[in-house]
Amino acid sequence: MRRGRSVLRMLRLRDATRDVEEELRHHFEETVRELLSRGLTEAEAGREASARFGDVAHYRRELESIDRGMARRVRLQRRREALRDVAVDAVRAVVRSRWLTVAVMATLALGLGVNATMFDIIDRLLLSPPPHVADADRLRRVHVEQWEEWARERRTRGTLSLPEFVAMTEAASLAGGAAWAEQRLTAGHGMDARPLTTVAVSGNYFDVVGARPVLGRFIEPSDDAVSAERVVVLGHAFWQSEYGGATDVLGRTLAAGSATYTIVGVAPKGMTSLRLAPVDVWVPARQVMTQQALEGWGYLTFGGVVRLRDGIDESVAAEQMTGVLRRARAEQAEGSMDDAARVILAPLLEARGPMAVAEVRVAKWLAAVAVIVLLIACINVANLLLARVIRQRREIAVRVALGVSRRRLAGQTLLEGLLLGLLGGAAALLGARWLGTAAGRILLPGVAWAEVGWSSRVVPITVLAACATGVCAAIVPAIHASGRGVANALRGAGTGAAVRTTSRFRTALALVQAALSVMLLVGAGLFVRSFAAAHSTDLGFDMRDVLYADVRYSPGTTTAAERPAILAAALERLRTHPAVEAAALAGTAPLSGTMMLNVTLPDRDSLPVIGSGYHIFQTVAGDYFELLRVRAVRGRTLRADDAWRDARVAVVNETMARALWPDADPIGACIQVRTTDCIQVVGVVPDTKQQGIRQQPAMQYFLSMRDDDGSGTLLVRPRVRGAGAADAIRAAILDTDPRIRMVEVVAARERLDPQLRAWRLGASLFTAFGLLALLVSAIGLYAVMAFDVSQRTREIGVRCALGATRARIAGLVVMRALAVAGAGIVIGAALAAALAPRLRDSLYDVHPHDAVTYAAVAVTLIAVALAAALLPANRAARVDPNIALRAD
Amino acid sequence: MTRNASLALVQGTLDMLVLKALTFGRRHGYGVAQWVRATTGGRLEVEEGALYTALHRMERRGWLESEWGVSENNRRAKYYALTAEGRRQLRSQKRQWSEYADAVFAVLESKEARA
Repeated sequence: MRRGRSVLRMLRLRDATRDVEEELRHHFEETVRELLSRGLTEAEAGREASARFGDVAHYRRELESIDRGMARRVRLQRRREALRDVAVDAVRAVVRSRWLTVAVMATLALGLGVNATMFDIIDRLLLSPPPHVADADRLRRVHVEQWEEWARERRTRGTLSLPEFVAMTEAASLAGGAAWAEQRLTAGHGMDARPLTTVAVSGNYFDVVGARPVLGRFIEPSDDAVSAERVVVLGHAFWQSEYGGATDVLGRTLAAGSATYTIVGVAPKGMTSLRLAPVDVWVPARQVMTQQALEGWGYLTFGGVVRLRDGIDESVAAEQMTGVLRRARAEQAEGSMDDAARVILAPLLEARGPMAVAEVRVAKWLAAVAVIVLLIACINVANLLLARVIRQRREIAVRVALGVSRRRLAGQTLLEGLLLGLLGGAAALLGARWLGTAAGRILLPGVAWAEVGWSSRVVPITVLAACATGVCAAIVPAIHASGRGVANALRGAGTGAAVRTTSRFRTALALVQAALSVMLLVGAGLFVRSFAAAHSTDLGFDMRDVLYADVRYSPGTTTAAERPAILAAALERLRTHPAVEAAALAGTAPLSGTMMLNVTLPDRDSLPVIGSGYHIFQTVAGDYFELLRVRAVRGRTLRADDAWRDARVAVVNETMARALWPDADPIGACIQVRTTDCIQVVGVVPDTKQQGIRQQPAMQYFLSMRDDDGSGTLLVRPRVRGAGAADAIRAAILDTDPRIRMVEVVAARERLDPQLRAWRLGASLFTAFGLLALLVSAIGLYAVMAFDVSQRTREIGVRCALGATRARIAGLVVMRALAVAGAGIVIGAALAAALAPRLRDSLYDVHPHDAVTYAAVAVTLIAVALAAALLPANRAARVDPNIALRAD
Repeated sequence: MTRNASLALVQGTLDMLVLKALTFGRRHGYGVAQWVRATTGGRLEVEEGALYTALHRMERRGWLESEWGVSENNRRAKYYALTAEGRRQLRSQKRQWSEYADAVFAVLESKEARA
């Protein structure tokens, strides 16, 4: 105890000097006094005292330094103890109020989990470089911007032809360039045949990318020659699933496509294509691609990536490459290639470049929404903590009166917030682990989500967000926990100033939550309407249950001239198959691309232009129109016996009929395609959207197929739906001719789904997040109302005593909730109206200020607010004035 | 013995002297100095500054505790007292010193040429 007191004084640093001074002064005074009493003079006494003591300055310094060290150590120890006490108190408080802890943890887990998931997706798509790429910020993806005749405008493309890429990479500012093309090689035969996701790469691809194999070696420049031995590199997942991860796989052979390849290496785990798609095998480009694809200037099949030299700026390199490209093209002087082509270098990740798909935009919006959801959750937590502090105000007042420092009380609350945040964050990470992969697969199925595991930044970011959220939520409660308004609390005033101001604060928070929820729900509503509109867009034909079958032949067994006959035979087989309702053959299946070739009329020089001015055409055989349930509006459609004849016949769509024969009957008229032969028009059909939902009206015509039409896709409508149908069809086609190696059967709907995907995503995820936000806000509003009622029992009792009816009291509570909801709607709608125009590009056929959406959201929020106010209003109405007035 | 070695020895024994000085009750720095001078009869040359250093150092180590008080002459003075740890230290150092002294004496008084 004695030590404690003296140590307390020692705590102040500047006193060390004073203390030492005083101590030594005492010593010298006594020494001199003693010496004087022995008869020395003052001067002699002084000298003798100094001599006995020693070097005063030196010793004084030593003493002071020793004392200061002591003080510092004690101070640190006290601080450590205080911190430990506060931490223990915080942990105890968290453990004690179990329900509060669970509620807070759940709320935070939701908010943080949603953010962790979205951050993981965004990080992988936009922020982190593709896995196993060395020095990714020196790599650039190559795009070419040029005038496109068919679109009549300048367009940017990410696919290049190999000759133009090779020409471009001569530029001096590059330290290397590599090309790749995604292919599908067939492995196996017949019913066992399956496609391998293949990437055909130039010899220096792996060198440019900078990855390292986990087994064996990668493809080298010497492998990329026609005469070289055929080699293949396995993808990691493929190696695991097909070879069980065996380490003796090097040197084994793999039969794919038309050749056999020797396995020379295995890629590291998680290595994907540069477009983040999973890869089964890598092969040298020259060994799988046709001569045309390798040498044709017009064959746009490759993606290109270049590595910039150190210190070179991207714009300088792009300029150089543009110059080189234009010179090379001028030398070619082929066709209608535009000389004003421009090279654009974009970031490696496709989602950041000019070719980013619509889903990426949706992902960015969703990430913003996730942050808002977290904000709403944080507000709820703040309210919960604040409510507890208010409930415990007596306890706090007592502690303050007993001498606990206010800073410590506030610190305890902040620490509780931090602890709760961390707990919520841990729960969030567990949930997001599973959710992230699932969400990613839904959002962008082409990307290999599962292989990479977790982006390394998600955990630290989530922990940081958890701490920040917990602390932020606890700030206002901490201020109140430090005991302001203590005196009132001790005196027992039921509605002290503290309760009133916090009540206003909490209502304001509930208002913010309501506004944010409205904003999110409006966004969700707009996406839902877009999706509904897109989904119900009439394409003009019925694709439900239709299957597409693509035929692949064993290499070297067929010539181009023989294939039509094989397809015709397969078609006949299918048409007579018992499980098939209708079968047809089409040059390009609907939604799988379009061919365009303009017709000419024999007696006219110029034709009217609709849209881009191109005429879409389609060659058909079999029961094409019956299969797609398209009926002629004039004349007839093409029949099965129209095909394979010398003379073709045609059917035109209404747009073409109206444009080319406005005053006459198109039936019997002639159209000319490439030659001057007259192709008779036998019917007119309604407009169909061959390209997809967003197609603008265009002229389209259908020709009966002829022997010199090379390829096509088989369309089948089975009698009975199900997997069995696909297998039966595959077997029937394979049976037709032994030269058919593989038949790929897909549902026609799968071609449509990617077009709808962006809206479906926006609709479903936006709605999910929006509803989550609404739920959390509703709970928050309920909590605010309930707490208020419980704090205001006395006021209610007074009102009752003064003659208010129960209905009136309940009405007050409900009115309060409606006021909050109303204000929230106004503010939220205003915010939404301001921000919605940014969504315009992502919406379909819906105006950003669509009245129906806004009205629906307003009604929803009012309904929810009423529901949230129900219980508190009930409780308020049942307050017994006798008890209420006596209490407190 | 060289001067350095004697100083080192003195520092260790200095601590012991101070500890001993305080076994009879608390004293202030001057009182300790007086006691040491009186008890050793002036035979040990001790710089009083070194005594104070010893006092402060031992307080930091927790062997002593200090407290400000009023001296016999009505002056403010800093008093030191032994802690339990200090008492233990004194006992152990006393024992060590005795053992050391015994060993040295055994050597000095040995009458045998070989061990």
